[in-house]
Amino acid sequence: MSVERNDVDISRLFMWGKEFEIEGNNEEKLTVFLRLIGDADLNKARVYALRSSSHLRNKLKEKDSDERLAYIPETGSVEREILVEAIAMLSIREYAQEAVKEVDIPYPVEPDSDAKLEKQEKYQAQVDAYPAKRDKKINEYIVKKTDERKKELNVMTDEQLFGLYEGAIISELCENEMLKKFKEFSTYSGIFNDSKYRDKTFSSLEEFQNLPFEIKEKFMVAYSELEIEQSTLKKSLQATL
Amino acid sequence: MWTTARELRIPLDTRLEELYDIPHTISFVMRKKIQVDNLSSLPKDKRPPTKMMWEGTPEEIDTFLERVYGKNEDTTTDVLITDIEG
Repeated sequence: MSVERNDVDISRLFMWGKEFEIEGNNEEKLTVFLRLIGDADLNKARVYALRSSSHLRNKLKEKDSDERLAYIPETGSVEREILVEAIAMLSIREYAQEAVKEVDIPYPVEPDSDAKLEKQEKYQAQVDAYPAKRDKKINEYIVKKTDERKKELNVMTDEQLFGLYEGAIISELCENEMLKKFKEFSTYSGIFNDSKYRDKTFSSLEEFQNLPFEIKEKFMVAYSELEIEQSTLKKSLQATL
Repeated sequence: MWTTARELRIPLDTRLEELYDIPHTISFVMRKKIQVDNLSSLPKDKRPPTKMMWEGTPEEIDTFLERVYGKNEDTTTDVLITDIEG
């Protein structure tokens, strides 16, 4: 169940750093301090992530590149039905974003401050039911759009379908690359040796990226636990208005 | 920053010594609050719908303000923040 504005814990906003103990492969423990990064580092992370995804996109479009050979199948090697399903599935993210904008369910109207208890209870019940009601509408929107898309795809030529499939695969891979690099950079920028967050643990992004996979993942999971989704941040604000 | 801390009724963390130190989440909340406060102070008939104030992109809000005020009037809202977040 998602957090609604009546349940938002505003104090979480101020829990932006923590001590973190990590165990290496040789059972040696290291204590570091993680903190959410500020706007300047966030911007650096964004720029780095965009450059990385752009680099991957160019490689994927380059004939005979390793990346293209690894991820993009040859024309004609995939059946029509699979292409249609894959394109439809890869469009879901786009439809979900659209749905959030398009689906408009009015938020329950708050009763007057001196409203009777029963009225306040009714309002709270409407607030509690709101996320499920909204999620249902969003799901319906996505299913409807996906079905419509499949109908459009089914009448296309094999060549058109493959072109769309290739575009969708490239978009998905680049989106994932962008997110991965953004998280890596953010985490690297938020790890310190001291509780005042002045002495960085890793001297470069490369040093962090070259960590064993499991250790890097532990850092990234620990950092992500400090993050607060933007929708929750907005609700925390709405709760104070 | 202090105004927002007071509004939120939570003391600001004493570890935040420099503006640079402010975590992006707190920074976002402060900017969004200023934006919503500014837009809410507009006359009711010129004010963007609540959903747009919270969910709209800066471009959507700009377009709305240009429409209700006419392009040449001053539609300054002080802070229009992007919705891109980590």
